[in-house]
Amino acid sequence: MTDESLPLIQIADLTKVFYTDEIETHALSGVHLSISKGEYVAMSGPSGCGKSTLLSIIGLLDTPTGGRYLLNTKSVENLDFAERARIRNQEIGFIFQSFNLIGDLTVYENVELPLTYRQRMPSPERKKRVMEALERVGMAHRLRHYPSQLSGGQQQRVAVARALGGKPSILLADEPTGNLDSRNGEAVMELLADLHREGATICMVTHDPRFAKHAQREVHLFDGKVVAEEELHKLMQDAQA
Amino acid sequence: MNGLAQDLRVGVRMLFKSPGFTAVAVLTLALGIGVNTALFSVINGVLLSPLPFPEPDRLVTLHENKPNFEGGSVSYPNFRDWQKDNRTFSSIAIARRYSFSLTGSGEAEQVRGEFVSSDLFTLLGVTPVVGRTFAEGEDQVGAGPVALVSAGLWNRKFSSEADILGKTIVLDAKAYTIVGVIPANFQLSVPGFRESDVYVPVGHWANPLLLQRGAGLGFHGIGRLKTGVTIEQARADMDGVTRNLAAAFPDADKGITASLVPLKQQMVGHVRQPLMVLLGAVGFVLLIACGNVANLMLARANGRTREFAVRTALGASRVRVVRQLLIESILLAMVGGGLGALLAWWGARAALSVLPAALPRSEQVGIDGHVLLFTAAISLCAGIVFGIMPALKISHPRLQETLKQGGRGASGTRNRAQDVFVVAEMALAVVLLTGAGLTIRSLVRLWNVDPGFNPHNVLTFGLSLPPSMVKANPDAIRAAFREFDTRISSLAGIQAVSQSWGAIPLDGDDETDRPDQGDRVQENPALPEEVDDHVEGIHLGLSVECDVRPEQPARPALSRRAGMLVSLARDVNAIADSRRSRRRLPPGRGQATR
Repeated sequence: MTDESLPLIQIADLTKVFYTDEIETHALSGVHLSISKGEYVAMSGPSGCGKSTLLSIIGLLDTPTGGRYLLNTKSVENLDFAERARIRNQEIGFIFQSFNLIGDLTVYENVELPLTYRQRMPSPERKKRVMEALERVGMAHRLRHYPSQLSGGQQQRVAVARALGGKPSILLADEPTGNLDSRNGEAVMELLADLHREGATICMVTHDPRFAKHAQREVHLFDGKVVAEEELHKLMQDAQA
Repeated sequence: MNGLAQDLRVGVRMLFKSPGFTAVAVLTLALGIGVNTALFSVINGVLLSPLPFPEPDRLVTLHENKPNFEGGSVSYPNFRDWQKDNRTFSSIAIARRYSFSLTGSGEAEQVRGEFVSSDLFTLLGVTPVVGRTFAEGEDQVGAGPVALVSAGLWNRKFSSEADILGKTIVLDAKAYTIVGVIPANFQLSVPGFRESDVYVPVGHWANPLLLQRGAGLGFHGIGRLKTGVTIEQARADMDGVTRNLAAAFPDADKGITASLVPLKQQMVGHVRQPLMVLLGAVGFVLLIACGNVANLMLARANGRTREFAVRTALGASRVRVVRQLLIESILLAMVGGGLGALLAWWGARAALSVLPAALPRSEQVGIDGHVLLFTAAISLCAGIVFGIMPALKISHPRLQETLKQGGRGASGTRNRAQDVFVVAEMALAVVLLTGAGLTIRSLVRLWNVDPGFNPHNVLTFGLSLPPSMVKANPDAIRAAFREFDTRISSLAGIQAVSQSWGAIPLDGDDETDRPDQGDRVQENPALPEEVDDHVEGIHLGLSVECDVRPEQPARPALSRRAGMLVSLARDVNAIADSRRSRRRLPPGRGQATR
């Protein structure tokens, strides 16, 4: 049971340090963030500011070095690999910049894939969800195609369908328009906006201000910290100077 | 089992996606699995499959252990006493090889025969194709002449006529009434026995030594244990029997005991170890093949790092990732196994056609359900062996890095894993090559063993008296042999001819008691005088006997090494272990004779 009034994601004093050749790199330094159910948040900032690292931690693809992370009120920062995989599968939908469809699977199989990792989901239920997701993104007519037979925009729509099929608590999109031309990029952004209007919680990383404007709220990162928009501009000017 | 069908579909697609990779991997595995399957089909047929007799575990072979060697032949009188006195066998039979001259049924020919006791076929549970087997008492001296023929001879000489029973067959100028036909699939590879054309009761062997207790004459026994009797109990029982016989007949039976060997061990025991060693060697070959394919799989897995990072990001557990890759590797192994089974079927047939007699029970070798099960099992194991390392390696992806950077693998880890395989393969190859080298060296040494005679350009052949001379007097027989010798010697290319009775070097023996007192055993009247000089390489009591024609004076002497063999070669003379002979045998015996 989750408390609907509490934020879906609560992050407090989150840190992430990478150790390479005895050099410590502080990718995140005391990040506080909260995302409510149904919210559409865009995370932006200059390259290397830590936005993708933060998204990876939110998506349980990576673990924080320190701090607290509650997903649906449950602490998830210290889960083991298997438990993180289970939560990723059931609670999180991923949309990657490079689509990350599996080339040897058809459109249908790509969308079905995360559902096959769920225990005890019967085949008819999987099929129903896959078809609903594909119809939602307008790709039901291509379900027997392979990714290589689709355009970039179509592939990203299939990736969105894959993310939607599991009915996740939150959609995480990492530069979802990064590999698309502006027309297809705009189409994908419209799709995300539609999903948000239908109630989806979305957290998107983008460095493009035009697309960030689609979100309800923008979170700005700089040097591993969340900063206000005005502060971000000042910091960036200082950095350029 | 969610997604198993999808995993299988992907596995099949992967086979077709990279046909070059698949072909190399399948061929490599097919060779490795094929040689293992071929060898297992041999082991299955020779060692594992039950003997084709009812309750084969109750069958044992019986031999006489002599003071100076084990597993010798059983004298006929001792056999009769063993039959009578034992309490642990439901029946005991004996058999001895013999060659008969078959006449009166088309062109005369020499046929393979067996002198057997009457209960041999009953004991073995052999059901004749037509007629019956021998009845009790038909093997006694003086009983009516009856014979059994093989299905092969029945077909060849009698066109498989249904009215074969009661017909007469003439063997060594003696007419026997055919009472049954032995089925074609009857085979028994034990001492004293071979696949034959005719079977004659032992009582009809006109050998004056037959009733001599000290004469082995090449008979070996086979017995069926009573139900519930162990071979240890039977051995204890026969110890008592032979002890009593030794007390009753000390001259002939002193120091003689019965040797009991389970029939299967007797038939195939000598090939068990070589086959197991070979199985180990081909097992190494399969491991090397697995190492090679594992390396290929690793290389391919490195190209799929991104795919499995995506799968993991979407919620695949490590078990699912490993399962996916193992399904792919097992599919590959199964295809290789299928091709390997075909190779094994073909290879085993080809090998057995070249070496039909080198292996006992070779007729049982084939691809049956057990072999296919073995093939499936080793294919499964191979699939796991070569698939597990790539699967485990790829199940630990660096998710963020891989997904963001387009699937760049962890090259350090990859190289270490591949290095492990290369080192393992090298180690296995070295062991295998060392074993092969040692085996070849042993073979070369065996080839170079000096047998004590010169075997080059020597031909051997069997010789029977024509039926017309069976009742001829000794002088006429000697004259015939001399004429034969003269005729053969005069042929172009023949340098020398010699005749022996009893055995060909390295091919057999004939045992006769040889009392130390210089008593001469009854001579074979069929042999010429000079042939009847016995050469013995003997110790005490029992001798391995070869009667030979004297050395030709012009021939250079052979180095007289320890041995007892007689050669027919030009440069070889009858030789004996003169050192032993001088010590153990009466004067004038036990040396090369002239």
